[in-house]
Amino acid sequence: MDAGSASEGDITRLLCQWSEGRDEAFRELLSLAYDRLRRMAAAHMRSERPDHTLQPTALVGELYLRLAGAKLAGWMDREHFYRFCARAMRWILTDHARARAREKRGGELLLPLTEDVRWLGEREQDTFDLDRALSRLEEIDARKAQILELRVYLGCTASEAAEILNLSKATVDRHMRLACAWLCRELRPDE
Amino acid sequence: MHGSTLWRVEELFHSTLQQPEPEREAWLASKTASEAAIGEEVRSLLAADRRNGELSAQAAATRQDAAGEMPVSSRRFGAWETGELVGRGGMGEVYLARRADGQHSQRAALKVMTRNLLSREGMERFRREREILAQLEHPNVARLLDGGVSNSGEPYLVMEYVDGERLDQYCERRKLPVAARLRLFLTLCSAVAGAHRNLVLHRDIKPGNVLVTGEGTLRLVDFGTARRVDASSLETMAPLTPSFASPEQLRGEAVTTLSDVYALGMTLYQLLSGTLPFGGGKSAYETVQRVVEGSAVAPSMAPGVDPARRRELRGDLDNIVLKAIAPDPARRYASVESLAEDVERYLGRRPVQARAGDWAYRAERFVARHRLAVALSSLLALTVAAAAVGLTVQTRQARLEAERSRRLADFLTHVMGLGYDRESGPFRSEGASARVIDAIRYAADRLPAELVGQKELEAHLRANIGHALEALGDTTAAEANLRRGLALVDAGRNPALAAELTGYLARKSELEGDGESAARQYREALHLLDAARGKVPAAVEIVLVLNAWNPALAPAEGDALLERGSRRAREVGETSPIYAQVPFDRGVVSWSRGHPEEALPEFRQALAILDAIHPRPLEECELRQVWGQLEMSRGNLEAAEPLMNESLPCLERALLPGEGHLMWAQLAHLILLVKQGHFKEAAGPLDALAAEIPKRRPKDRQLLAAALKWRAKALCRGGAACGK
Repeated sequence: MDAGSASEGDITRLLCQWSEGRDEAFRELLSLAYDRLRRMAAAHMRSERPDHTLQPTALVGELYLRLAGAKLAGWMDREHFYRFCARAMRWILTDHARARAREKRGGELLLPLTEDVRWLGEREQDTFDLDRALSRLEEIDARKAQILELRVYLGCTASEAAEILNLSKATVDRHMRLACAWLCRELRPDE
Repeated sequence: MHGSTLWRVEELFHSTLQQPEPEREAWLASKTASEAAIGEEVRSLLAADRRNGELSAQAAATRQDAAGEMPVSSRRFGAWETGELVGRGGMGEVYLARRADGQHSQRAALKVMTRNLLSREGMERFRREREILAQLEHPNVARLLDGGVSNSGEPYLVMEYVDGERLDQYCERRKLPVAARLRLFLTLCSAVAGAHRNLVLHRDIKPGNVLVTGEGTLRLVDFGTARRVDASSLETMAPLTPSFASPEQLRGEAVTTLSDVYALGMTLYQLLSGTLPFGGGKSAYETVQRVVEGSAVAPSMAPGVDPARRRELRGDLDNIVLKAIAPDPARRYASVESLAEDVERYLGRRPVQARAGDWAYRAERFVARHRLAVALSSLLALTVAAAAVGLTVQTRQARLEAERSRRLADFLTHVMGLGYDRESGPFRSEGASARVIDAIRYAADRLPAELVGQKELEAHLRANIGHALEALGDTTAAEANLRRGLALVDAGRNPALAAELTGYLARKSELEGDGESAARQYREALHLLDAARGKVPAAVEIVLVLNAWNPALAPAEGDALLERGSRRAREVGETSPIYAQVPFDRGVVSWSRGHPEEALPEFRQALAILDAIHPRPLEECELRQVWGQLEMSRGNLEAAEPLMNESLPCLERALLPGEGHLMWAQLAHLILLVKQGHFKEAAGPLDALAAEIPKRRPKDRQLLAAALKWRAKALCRGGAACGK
């Protein structure tokens, strides 16, 4: 996702090949996005140590299963691919939080990945609430939900999100500002 | 935000934000006078926007606080007072500390768990680190001095403060030679082995967790991820360092002492080569992928290693590191101690254990991964590797193929899954060579069944097998294999392979003493070699042209062959025994032309090359034999005796009884006795040898004639039987 590391052509080609049944194409796809995903996973799982990363395989393994399962979803291009990665990350983290809650284990909160909503993740509920809020937002304004998803779960910058969604950065900024306000109102209503 | 109002709300939200703060409310009110609901929504969102900003700022502040960027002032932890923040570890922060009660001025490192890590799991890990450290008493493990819970409920550990530098930086900055690095590494091994003896796994060994003080004392630190061997939980989420973590760790499988062996291997890799084998991937994903698939290049082949260091690492050190980091734990050293022992063996210039088994293993993996599609290139690699160990030599010399044969046996048996085991296998009747030769014969019998339809591959293998068999003295079996190989190969399409097979066949005839057939077959082989110009591996061509050289050739023709051999020998490199063949053979040629004195400087040069190779190549013993015979022929018996005495036992170990060159060497030894005047001592053994030759080597008339001649001399000079 870092500009230049994966061109649109590459990803579209790999997606095509994958949907035609070439399984190696998926591995290549995943490796294109892996760095970013891993960094995000580490941040989500909260690593305090700059030279340490948290066990990435569990997360990526799960991501793999999700992506492999979605093989027939028929996505077409780079935008779909990243949106799918963000969505996969959202599922994984939400499930993870759900499991932790079920087992009544504390700790390991979700870290906000975007500067715009730093408070996100301070409460244990935030992981589920964010998921539910995003589902509502999708119905109201799908574009904003996509942007939030990319920025929160994949840690994209505004420029990266703009590039992926083929929008201008200013447009992404405007969407984001309102989306964040909306999210804050949903998750942190004024007491 | 619903339907068409959405757009309106959004527009108002942004345009209001563009107004100066104090004027926003009035501005918004004026715009929404007629649409109260929309105005309310925008107002609510604007409030949320403000709140979002405040909450985010707060969150940033708390986090910075919690991260402890700046400890406001020194804090008390029990009897300890913290000073400067010196580091941040997996579990918390580390401060310099000293006793606050002034009892003594001991400096210590105080590790305190970060506030936001105070989860149950985190507490548990902290408690475990304390337990583990308390039980570890080792001079190379930073000692635990104290520990407890502060008044505000934070757990802390107080450890011996190590004023040192990371292991890798210490080595680099001081430009330590390899031996010094290995000695430091041995100290590290002893610390890890100590932990293992206490049933503790470190699980995060890497140069960054090893400190060396100015006096050169090494300390293993940070047991924050350590665990007891018997702990049952898998803890897939434990922090780790991908570049040093073993494949099983990355896969989330059970971690054992062998995972620490792996991390030690990676640490050694970095200490020796300055880099890591899997670091070159385009992404971390590739790194993990490569770790799991285990395609590490040898440290000597790592990028950026300078040529001198490369030469030093090649061979034993490469093998040691690669054995330690084998992706399959079962292929690694069984313990830290056995890794350390091998490093010690290397330092003591003794043969290391990491060797043939790993070589065979790599060949096996290679073949297993690519199956027969690339089997031809693996055989090419085999031929080159074999050449480096010891191919060749000139017609009149004893040749030692044991090492090469052993490797071939390993290769064949491992690849074909024959379960042949050098130490305890079914072939242990007549000593090492016998076991090797049995294994090769066995493998040769199985080839057709194993390689159905793989004609060229089988021909390649037949060439190697035939060459090994003739070197081991079984010329009959060698011939059968070589002829079978020739029947399989199309000389028009693959003249290189046909040349190789024909050359070995010529060699076989020569070894049997059948000079006429040999000369014809060599001519044929050289002809094929010309047809395959440029496509013959250096090792194969060198062996062939040097073997084809013969004193009966016209000098110009002979010289052309030698020149051709030495030209290609340069490709093999000067650290290879095959490189020594060039001066060796030039010496033999000078001798055969009646200038033994010109041979001496050549032999000296060859010996210098061979001496520098570790472990000692078998050619060295061969050279001593030839040199000894040369000295004897010039009448310099004092020089000949030690050379030949050193050489014969080694030849006897390596070659089968009855092998031509071994018998020539045995005869030479007896001739020396005769020349020294020990007629009686020589007579009996000469008798026995002369009786043995027709049985062992029926076609070798030259050898028989020589033995009979010297037997007669010994009897004649030694006693009454000589009627003068």
